[in-house]
Amino acid sequence: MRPEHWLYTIPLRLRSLFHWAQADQELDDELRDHLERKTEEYVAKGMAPEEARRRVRLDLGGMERVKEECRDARRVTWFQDFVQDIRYGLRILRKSPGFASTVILTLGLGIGMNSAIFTVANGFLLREPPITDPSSVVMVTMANPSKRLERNPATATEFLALRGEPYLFDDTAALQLDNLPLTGRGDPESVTVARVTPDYFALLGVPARMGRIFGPDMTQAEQKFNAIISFDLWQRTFGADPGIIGKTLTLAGQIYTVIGVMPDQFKYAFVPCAVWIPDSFDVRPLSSAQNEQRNLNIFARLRPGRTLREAQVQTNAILERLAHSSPTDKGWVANVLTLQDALVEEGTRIAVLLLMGVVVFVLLIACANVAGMFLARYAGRAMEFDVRAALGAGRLRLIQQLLGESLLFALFGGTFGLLLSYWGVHLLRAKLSFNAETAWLAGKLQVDSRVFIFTCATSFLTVLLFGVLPALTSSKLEIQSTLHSSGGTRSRGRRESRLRGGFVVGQIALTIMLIAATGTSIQLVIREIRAQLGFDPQGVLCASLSLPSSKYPSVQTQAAFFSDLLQRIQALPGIQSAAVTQEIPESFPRRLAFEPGADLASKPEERPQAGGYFVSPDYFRVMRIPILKGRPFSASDSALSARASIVNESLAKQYFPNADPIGMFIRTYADPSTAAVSRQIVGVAADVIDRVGQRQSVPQIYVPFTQNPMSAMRVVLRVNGDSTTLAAPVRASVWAIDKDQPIGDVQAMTQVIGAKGSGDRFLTGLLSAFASIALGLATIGIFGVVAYIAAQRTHEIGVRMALGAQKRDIFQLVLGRGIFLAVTGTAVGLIGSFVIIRILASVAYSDSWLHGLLILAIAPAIVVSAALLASGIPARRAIRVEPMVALRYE
Amino acid sequence: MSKPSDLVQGTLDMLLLKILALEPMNGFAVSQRLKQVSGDVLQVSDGSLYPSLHKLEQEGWITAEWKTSEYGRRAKYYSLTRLGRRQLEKEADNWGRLSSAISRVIKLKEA
Repeated sequence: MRPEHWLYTIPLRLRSLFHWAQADQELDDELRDHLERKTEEYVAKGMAPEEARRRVRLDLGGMERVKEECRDARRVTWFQDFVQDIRYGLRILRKSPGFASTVILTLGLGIGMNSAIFTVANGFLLREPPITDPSSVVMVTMANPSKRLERNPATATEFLALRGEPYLFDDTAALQLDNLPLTGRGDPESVTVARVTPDYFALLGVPARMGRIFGPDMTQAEQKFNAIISFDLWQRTFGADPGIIGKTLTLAGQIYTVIGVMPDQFKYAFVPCAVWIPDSFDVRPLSSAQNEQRNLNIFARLRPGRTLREAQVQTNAILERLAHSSPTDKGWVANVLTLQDALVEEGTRIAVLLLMGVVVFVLLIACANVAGMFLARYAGRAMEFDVRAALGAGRLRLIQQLLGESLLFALFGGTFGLLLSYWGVHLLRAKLSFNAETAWLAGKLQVDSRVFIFTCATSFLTVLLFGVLPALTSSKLEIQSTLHSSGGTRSRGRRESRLRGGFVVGQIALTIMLIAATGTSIQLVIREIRAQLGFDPQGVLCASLSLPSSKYPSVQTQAAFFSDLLQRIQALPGIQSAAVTQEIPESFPRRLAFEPGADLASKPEERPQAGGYFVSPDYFRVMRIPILKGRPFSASDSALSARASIVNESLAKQYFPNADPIGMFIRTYADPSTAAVSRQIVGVAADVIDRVGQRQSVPQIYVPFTQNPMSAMRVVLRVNGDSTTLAAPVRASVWAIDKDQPIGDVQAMTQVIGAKGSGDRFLTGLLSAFASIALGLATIGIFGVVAYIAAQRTHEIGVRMALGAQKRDIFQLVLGRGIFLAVTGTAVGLIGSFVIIRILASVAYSDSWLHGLLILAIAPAIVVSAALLASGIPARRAIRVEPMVALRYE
Repeated sequence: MSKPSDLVQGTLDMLLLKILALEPMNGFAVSQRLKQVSGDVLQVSDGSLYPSLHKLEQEGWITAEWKTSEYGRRAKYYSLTRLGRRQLEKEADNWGRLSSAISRVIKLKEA
């Protein structure tokens, strides 16, 4: 209203609030004064004093009622009532510790799980990148629908085309990741280097922590050997040297001057970069093949007022024109994503959302449990509510009281939940660190203000669900006179038990849906983990090496290095066999386009592709990949000899269906634009898995590495006994050839493969744990309801037994109720599960939802047996009731 | 018992404001005065008088202070505030319009 109005009313409200005892006293005085005067008046009119006092009180009506109405006029009674309710609630808590602790534990568990998983969602999905105005920064990713490829980097040609369009974006920058050896400081190490266009930092709007960023004001030549280093590298390798700016570092033999240190939070995507060096991607004398390599990550800032969709349409228009003029790698379309979306892997997003959905279900089940418990308590407190109602409490006032009590539980439950989530986040942080990307993110997980607000909101929503909803629907809040009727409790029990039954049905349905959802996910994940490897990872040690092109410029020097290294390693004691390979199975090797047989007519984009493995002769022995026909490679397959290849069984069956492939020719293309190399097939190897989650075999081609040397290779060795004991001798062998050569992780193969699956395994474990908790809660819920209903019907049971009912009949009566609830809940749950499984299949795994049917059979079986168990105990208790006791039971 | 039907809904507030506009007085006096001026037609029960007074006070239309009465007793005296005076004018206007409209309807001649 008006300020003038508040001038009067605010002090009054404050007074009512803080001096309410005094205000009450004055009200007493005022009314007493009135009574005295009126009595005097009546006496003066000739009434007897006793009669006068009686008349006066009659005139006034109920003294307490008038007082209550006057207090209501103060408009702050709700607050005093609230304080009173809280006090009363605390007393109840103290008086029934069993009930209180069950409710608080149940709620705390539900809320804690939600907060912990929300913390992960918050850290993984919701956190905005620490850059200026992140919503307008996008990544242009490339997708190839026909090859089912998504979120691929772009080529230099594509980048330059987009950058050349002045009206598309405000600014466009590109980044290319590389691994280079950093030498001159302790052991040589391989660090992640990002070559970026000089405007990269300016586009993101991130200033350096120390020194400066690359500026557009300096020429390419001036900046050429400048480097910016990460906070981590500065701390770790340079000992947080405050005078780092202007010092030098050596990358792949080239000296760079450090001009800046980035802040701690700054990184590219999930890969923490150590060094950024400038590159314009257009002044290098690029061969056409290099221009077509998909290794540029394009960043752009949207023009003000431009939407993502517009940018997407325009980008694709430009790329289409480009495809017309240079007919190389076709079928690619641009997908413009916000930075936040682009930086989260699809799998991670689905996993986190799945977990979030599951814990919400668990919370709902916990709420249903608590609501059931509260209903039972309301029934037990029927007398109290009736007395309150008789003394003038309205329905709203009673609901307010229950709300106050529920809030108290929410407060305790929420606090407990928050403590649980601290512990949970601690646990998750350790468990989530299964690769460099998630470790970086997991390390930053913390219960922050956003999580706190989420927890508060969850707690209060649960209050509404478990406290107020039952109160609103409860018949307890309608005045029925248990005060007068001894039979009241029984007749009311009916409606009460129907309501509680409803909660149980809901709970069972939710549990079945939850088990169906988690079961389906687990089943799918396990299938991926158990996919046939096709090789034996036990006893194999694996080390990766990346030769700097500055030191090993030609393929000959690279091949010579690896040949030399192999000889040294084979001489080490305890080695069965050793080989080098460009890729190991399950790591999605590079695609190698090929043409089988003599058919030469295919267009570049129509050539089939195979997983390409560039290996040394002993590779098949080390990995124990059987050669089914022909021979493995030998030392005679050298750079000088005839070009040879080994194909896998799938390729042989698919492309040489009716012929013996041995001796046939196959043409391979290292790059789309390079000339074909005709290779004679010398052997057929068994299939191995190409990538995680692969379900069917794909064509694979093996090529002697000497005939197509690469700078980045992996050394694999089969070892007697514990493979890791050879890590140090392997390192020493490398450094004996080149003391500056960095070595990537030296790991047991089981570890390398395990790291890929451990995220899935952890997800599986977490989902099973959540499903078990949900099942446990639901079982407790069913037990509580059946036990309560049995107790409510004690009188009835007594009558039945007195009239001759057998123990078996009674047992069936009580158990029947439990079964009825379980079956109803199951029916509802099955319908929901069906929907959920279909959604899951379409979102995450896309091929088939039929395998979910097994879960649909198992989930009800689990839940119904839990329900039977939970009903059995109260049923047994019911038949032990003495008829006389039961009849007197009230 | 109170007889709300005796009073047109909502007019009690206006009557109380009008009475207090004449002079500050305590609750008992208000009830006496009401009976007196209306010639016992308007019977306001004591039970509804006090809550109404408290409501008006909380609205900021009247204000109360404890004073010693002419009989030497401490009593709560209510008086009109500036806001209350404005409210009274408003309600009186409304009432005037309403009552004249109603009387015009009532006085219509039957055909």
